[in-house]
Amino acid sequence: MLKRAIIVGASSGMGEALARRLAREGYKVGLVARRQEELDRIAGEINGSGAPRAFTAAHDVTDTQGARDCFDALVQRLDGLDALIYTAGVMPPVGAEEFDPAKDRSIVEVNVIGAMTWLDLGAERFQIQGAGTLVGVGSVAGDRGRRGQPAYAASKAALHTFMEALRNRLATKGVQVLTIKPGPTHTPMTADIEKMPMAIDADQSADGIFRAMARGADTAYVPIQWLPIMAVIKSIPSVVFRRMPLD
Amino acid sequence: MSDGTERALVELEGRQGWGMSSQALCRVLYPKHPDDVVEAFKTAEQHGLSIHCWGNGRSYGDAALNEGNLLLDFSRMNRIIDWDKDSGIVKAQPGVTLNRLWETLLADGYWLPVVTGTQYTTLGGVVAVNAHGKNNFKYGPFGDHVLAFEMVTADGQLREVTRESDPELFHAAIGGFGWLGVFVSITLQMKKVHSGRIKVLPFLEEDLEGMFRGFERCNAEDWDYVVGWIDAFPGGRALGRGQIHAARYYAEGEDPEAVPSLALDRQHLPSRFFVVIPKAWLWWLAKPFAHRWGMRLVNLARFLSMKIGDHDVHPQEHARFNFLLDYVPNWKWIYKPTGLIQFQFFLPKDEARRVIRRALEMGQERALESWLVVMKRHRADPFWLSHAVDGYSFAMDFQVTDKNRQALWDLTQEYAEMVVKAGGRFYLAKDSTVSGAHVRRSLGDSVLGRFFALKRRLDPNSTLMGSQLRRVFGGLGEELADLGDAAAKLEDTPGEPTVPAQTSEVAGLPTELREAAAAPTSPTLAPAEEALPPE
Repeated sequence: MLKRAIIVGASSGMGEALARRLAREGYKVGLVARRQEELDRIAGEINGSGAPRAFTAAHDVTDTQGARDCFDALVQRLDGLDALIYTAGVMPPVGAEEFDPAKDRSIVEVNVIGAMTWLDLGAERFQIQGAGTLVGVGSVAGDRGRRGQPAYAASKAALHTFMEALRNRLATKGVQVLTIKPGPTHTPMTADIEKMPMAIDADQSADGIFRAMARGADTAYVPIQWLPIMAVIKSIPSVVFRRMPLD
Repeated sequence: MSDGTERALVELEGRQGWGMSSQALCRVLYPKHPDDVVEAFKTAEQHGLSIHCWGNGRSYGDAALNEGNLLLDFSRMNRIIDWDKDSGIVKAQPGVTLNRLWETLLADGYWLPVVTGTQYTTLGGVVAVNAHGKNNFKYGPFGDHVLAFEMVTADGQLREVTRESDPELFHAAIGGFGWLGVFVSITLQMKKVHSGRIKVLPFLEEDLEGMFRGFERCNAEDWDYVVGWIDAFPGGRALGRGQIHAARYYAEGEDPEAVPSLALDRQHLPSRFFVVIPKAWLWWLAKPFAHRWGMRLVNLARFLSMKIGDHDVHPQEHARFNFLLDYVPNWKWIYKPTGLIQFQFFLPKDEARRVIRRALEMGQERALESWLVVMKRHRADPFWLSHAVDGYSFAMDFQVTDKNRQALWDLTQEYAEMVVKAGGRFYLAKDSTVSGAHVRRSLGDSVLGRFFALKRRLDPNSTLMGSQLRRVFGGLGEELADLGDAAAKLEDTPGEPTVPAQTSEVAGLPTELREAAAAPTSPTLAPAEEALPPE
């Protein structure tokens, strides 16, 4: 049978690109996002005139109570599950002198709580199944606390740590837990950002994620060039880092 | 409701096809008695769940899975109910393994009339899929040796069925994948043997044409078993080279060691290779070769080693000859972590040379050579969903990875198209990839229609349903059942249906419906490709 994956946050950007890529690589895909019309468009393009390979479910990841029903319904449509990929994320603009708890909370709800909810559902299933792949899309931003996006960086750091803990729980049970740390990527979420050094497009990012899944990786920087760069950045002492012109 | 049922309703169990490439979480029940099966149908009805059966998990793909629904695991319903050594008739529960059967009956001078390549399949499983062995061309599939079975149908009724009492259900349920009812006992005619050994002739062939000539020669010489192994890697003049093993039963009084060879310790497979290497290590030792070039080397080494091996007729114990898949325990782990699929197709003998040659060439052109290829000879049989035709089968094992998955699926779809056009068939017991459209064109609407119409009568709510049925036929069952009902109405007399001998989609239907089927005007009779595009 074909492999089966659920992609949360599949209506645009990295999630959409990954859904298309997985469908091309022999997966049936369950697409989750808020906007049904966007999901229908993508599913229609994936399915073309052939047998259905993409199924959709409109869902807001901040509705944690509704996640299980959505998950179960998609698993039923896919007749099982082999991979769950959480790509949903928000990064609203934050002013240099802005401190807005409501905005920070909205970031954490999508980037952390939503991710934990969906990844827990996948983890619970894959633990029983003794097989499966969990993918959480973090960010290089989660590796250091830059001044520009405190809540976003913290949310991604939280996700990285959560993924590491899941990996430590599930590694002996045949489950791959993969943390993706993309560098700047051209997506609707980053459309308003002017400075995007070494930015790649969503298809390139999806390619990197798929390759990391295929080789059974634990953590993958996408593109790989960010691995040495972040190794250097992570080693910079805080007293120096805070004086560097990094937003 | 029993504790087990309550637990199954809330706790999911992970189950995996033997090839490790298909998995599902199922609500598993462990029936111990036919009444438990009746109870399971009530539970399914109350909770809106479907039911499928699990024997010992030896199907490569999704044939024994039922995602999110009830799975009846027959490991606790594994008794031999009755054994009459005078007549050679055994009655057993479906969960009994072939291993247990032959180990119990061999001392009385009986062997199974048909065995699978592993002895760890279950009786219920092999009858449900109507499995074949290396002697299919001569002895037919398991179903040909079944005398009777007891089956619980979705209405909770226990039916005892023989070839004579209900020929329709008998020929539909054997090979019906548990989609019509659940076997709770099977009565089988065993084969009398006059020795615990069999005479085996191995010989090499340098190309595919040689393999076919070898099979034909064995057929002409009336051997009881014939099986071929093919090295799928070399091209050109060596394309299709391989080895054939033919085997023949000893006649009464022919084997001087007839009595001692019936002892179990003579039958058991060796626990070590080359005296010192524990068999359990072999998969691990082979793991470094688990890639295309490594397997090219392994196949080459195997071929060359056979060149210097013994090519004379020699005696070999039944178990050692038949259960090749058990020589290396857990050999599937070579394919870890992503697993393997097997694609097996059956071709009429006149088409086999051409299609098999092209199949080997296509694998090489796409760098998707099968790591293990097995070829067998078959005959047609009267079972409704039969996979066998008068010809040859070709079984190919492929490693599945994230990188080759789609290419492999595309290749198997192209194989399937070639097979259908050649009038061939597929074997769902091992399948992971075949589409409903290909199965429909292969078996024909007449037979499938009759099958699904019978299913609708026996199981109106489609309670008996597994992952494979959903994957292959999806929502097609109702359409096919309509077609089957239409066929039944047009028939003058009920009774044993005419099953197409091999390939004709409309064979067995009355003339009026045959004409209707030829004209794609009715929605229910539209070409299969339109009704269900290939996946």
